[in-house]
Amino acid sequence: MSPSTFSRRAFLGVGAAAGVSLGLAACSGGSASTSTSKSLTVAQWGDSTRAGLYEKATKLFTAAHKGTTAKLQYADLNPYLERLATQAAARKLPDVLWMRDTHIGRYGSAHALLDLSPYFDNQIDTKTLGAAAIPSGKIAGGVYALPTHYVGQATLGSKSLLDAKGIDLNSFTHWDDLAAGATELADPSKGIYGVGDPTVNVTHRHLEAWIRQSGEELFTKGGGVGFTADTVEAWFEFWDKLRKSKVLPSADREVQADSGGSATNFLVTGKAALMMDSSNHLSSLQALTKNPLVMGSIPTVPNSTDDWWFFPPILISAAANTKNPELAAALIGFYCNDVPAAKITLLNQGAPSSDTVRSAIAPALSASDKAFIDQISREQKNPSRALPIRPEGASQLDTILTRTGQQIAYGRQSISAAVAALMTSAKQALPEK
Amino acid sequence: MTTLPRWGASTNARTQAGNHHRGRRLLTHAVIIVAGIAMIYPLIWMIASSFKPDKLIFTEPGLWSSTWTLQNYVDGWNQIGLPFGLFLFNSLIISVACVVGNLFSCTLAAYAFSRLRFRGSGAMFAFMLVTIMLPFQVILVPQYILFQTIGWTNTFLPLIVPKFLGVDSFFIFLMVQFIRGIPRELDEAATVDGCGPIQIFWRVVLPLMRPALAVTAVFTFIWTWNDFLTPLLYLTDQAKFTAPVGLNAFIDSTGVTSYGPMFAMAILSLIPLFIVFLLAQRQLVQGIATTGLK
Amino acid sequence: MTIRKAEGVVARPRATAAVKPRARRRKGQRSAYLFLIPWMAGALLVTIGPMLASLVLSFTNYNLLGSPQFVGAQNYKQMFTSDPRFWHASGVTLEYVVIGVPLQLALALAVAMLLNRGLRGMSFYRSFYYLPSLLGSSVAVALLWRQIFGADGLVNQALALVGFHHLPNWVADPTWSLGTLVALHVWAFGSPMVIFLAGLRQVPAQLYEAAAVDGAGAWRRFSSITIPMLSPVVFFNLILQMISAFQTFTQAYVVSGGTGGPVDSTLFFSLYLYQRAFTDFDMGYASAMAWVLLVVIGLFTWLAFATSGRWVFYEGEKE
Repeated sequence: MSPSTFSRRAFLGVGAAAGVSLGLAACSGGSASTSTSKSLTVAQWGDSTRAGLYEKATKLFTAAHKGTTAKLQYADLNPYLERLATQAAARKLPDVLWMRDTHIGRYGSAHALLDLSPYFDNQIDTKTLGAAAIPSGKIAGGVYALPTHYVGQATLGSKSLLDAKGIDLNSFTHWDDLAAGATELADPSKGIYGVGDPTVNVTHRHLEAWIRQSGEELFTKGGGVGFTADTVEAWFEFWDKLRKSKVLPSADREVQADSGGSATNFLVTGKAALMMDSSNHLSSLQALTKNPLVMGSIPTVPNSTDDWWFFPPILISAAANTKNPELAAALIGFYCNDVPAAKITLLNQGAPSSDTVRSAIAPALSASDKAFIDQISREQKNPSRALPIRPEGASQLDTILTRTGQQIAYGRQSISAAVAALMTSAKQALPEK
Repeated sequence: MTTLPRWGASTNARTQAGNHHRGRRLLTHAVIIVAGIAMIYPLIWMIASSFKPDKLIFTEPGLWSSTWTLQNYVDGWNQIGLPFGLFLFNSLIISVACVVGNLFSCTLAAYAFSRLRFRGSGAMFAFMLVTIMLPFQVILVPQYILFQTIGWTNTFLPLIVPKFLGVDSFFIFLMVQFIRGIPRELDEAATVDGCGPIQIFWRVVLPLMRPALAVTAVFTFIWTWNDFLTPLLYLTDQAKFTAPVGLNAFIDSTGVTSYGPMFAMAILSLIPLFIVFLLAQRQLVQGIATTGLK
Repeated sequence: MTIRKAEGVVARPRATAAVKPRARRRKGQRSAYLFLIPWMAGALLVTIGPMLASLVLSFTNYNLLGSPQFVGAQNYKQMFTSDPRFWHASGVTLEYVVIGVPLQLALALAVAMLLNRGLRGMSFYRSFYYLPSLLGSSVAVALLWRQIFGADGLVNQALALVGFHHLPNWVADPTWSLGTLVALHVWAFGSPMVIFLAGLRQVPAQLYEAAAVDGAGAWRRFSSITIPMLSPVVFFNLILQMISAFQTFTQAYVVSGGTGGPVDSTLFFSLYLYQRAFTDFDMGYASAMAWVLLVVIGLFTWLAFATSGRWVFYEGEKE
């Protein structure tokens, strides 16, 4: 046997052993999470920063409950939703998972989630979560989710540009006031837009506000289309007028800025005076620019209903297939109510739903964070009729609305034609039950 | 006696000394370099951006920057709670294992399809081609359920084991095409020498397939390294993340994305791929060695 | 020396062949199955099961959360008669394939031939040209591409230098957005280029020398030697690039953020399929779409194979 063959054989042997041990190591990692000891898997969407904060916060829980472990999984929003759907198909959802309000209808009515109402007496304290808390997860008699955070809509603006023209964005009572202000603030010679275009983005909270102000809803109680063509047409016409007078960016400019996320937001790059956005984005945008930003509530339509205010919830649920339902419920209660945990995660996902928690963390907040919390607390005092539960086709509605907005913005279709197509597609996606 | 065809040799013999040809060579070099730079300009931009402070990347979008910094590399390395090097290491393990798997299973299958006659070969070959054509999205869910049932989720196994079972029909097809270019006389000569199919495979065909093997190894490594969706689906433990999944963790489509650190780590993730390609290139260049027959 | 041996042996094969043909055939069959064990195991365990499952699912309504419900051919019917986005996505994909694949292959072949000259530093240049393919379909690419083709991006800056102004926003303009993805596809020509290089290496230098001696010019050498000798590799690249172009998903997903670009202008078939599966939770419909795509790809591939006899020349199988 020549030396070369012997060493080759030995090498192969070592390689095989290494491979087997690697495989075993990889396997053992997997089996631990499915063991029957008190362990939970927790899933959320977001980036590594958020994951880091929640790891720390969750450690407080496992320290307080001896003998329990929790494993956090996270991914960016779209991959997260895809993985969630696949896990649901395999009936192996994570024990505790954050849930989009657009998806709660679907997951809840399919009974993929745990009914949390049996745990309200013990593990989950819902008293301080607000009146909208339980309804936000209530489907067909069970409560399948609770809100950990709320976000809101806002008009954001660049302080320097506003002050230069002496305009206060809190003075925009009605949408026409905003249009007038934006027209004055626009400066084509410097390439500054009056206000950013909210009609071509992937979410449509401001349109929802407009619809609720007009006395309608996105969805009927039976899960069908709750809005009329006229209301929606008025919305698109409002923004199209601004676009034609160059107060709004052109469609391609807006689409490009939107796709780059916060870093390319017009307020950050200094290209717009006003933006329609979510109130929790004030801090993250301010962190990216030296220009001071200000925030105010959004305007209303003339003769608006009083109780249109609403706050999209960030929901949390437990899986129906969980092996530790009481522990999962306890963890949910922890995320909703625990003050030390909230002091770690602060406003990363929005304004905490519990007002006790909100007041407890208020002293530690930065100026823009405080502005956000103040606005939410202030707006929550307004009357607010219940939000309809998002039915199964809710996630499709967003895509349909985006398409419609883009067709109009790019001049591909007239507003009436686009809205007619919108109503047809929406009625297909949202059949009335 | 005819000399053996010089496989893989260049045609430098025809170049003559002289200024005319040197000028032409210089021009060729110039064209290649300029076109090359234009080609990789986006990459150059990314490298430059990785050395700019995060906030300036989009506000100063040129190649030049007012300040240069290494902060993105420092931040990116530690941003995800675990050192990014761990993800690079995971990617390395998985990619190398997949290369071994593919080299093993695809050569065997390719030899059978191209050189051996057997019942059902046509149908199986057609089926193999069909598997290349099936979009991955629909076998995604049934495969996940399959691996979930045998308890392989959150391990590297669903990513590696299929490679040992010849699922990468792309490479089987590639090798089939290559083997068909090898003259059958060599097989026949070996048969006369008393070789059976296995020895013909080991002694004649495999050594002559080196460019195809190199291509398979390089592409498998690179494509496995860059695969994002499969590791995302199966690996939920942060400690098992591969590099692309790790990169995605810098993104928050609902909030702020850390572009600077992400670009920095993306550059780091590119380096092993580049090295692999550089090293494997020589195999491609050498071509078939005529003395490999002995 | 091997060839000489083969030549010397030509007179004999009939004799040996006549001795035991059936035995050798049986031995060949047995070894064939032996060689195929890993592949057959993979096909049975990992591929066929999920494939059949997806075929069955295409005849059901399946929203991933519940159980599949049999609905017959309803998905297929809806697809062909009442889904304009299906046709739109098919059009987008077809346009991409017809324009992008030949362009990419032509560029790959041209660069491969350029790099095959044996100039000094060739291996370094090769890696350079391969770099874009290394980026794969990572998220970094999407950001890069928006940077380059955006309104104030590099392409527009470069064109402005040469005197073009008022240029569109290539990546966010529905007229041009598909073009930017074609450009991305062509830009990453590294893989077919490498395969062409490997194939060029297999062309015996002798043939070129003989042709040069006979007085053949560069074009004649290209069309009479390079193309025929390279034809199996061209065929291979063509088939596989076409199949992968029909299946394009990741680049479109990443550059358009999963939406299919401004007003569905980059709504590739696979992307629409993905949306139906994971955004609309309509897995049955998505499975039906996948099988339609499979049939279409199969048709094109069969066409390519059927016409290949005319122009593809295998050196090892002269009969």
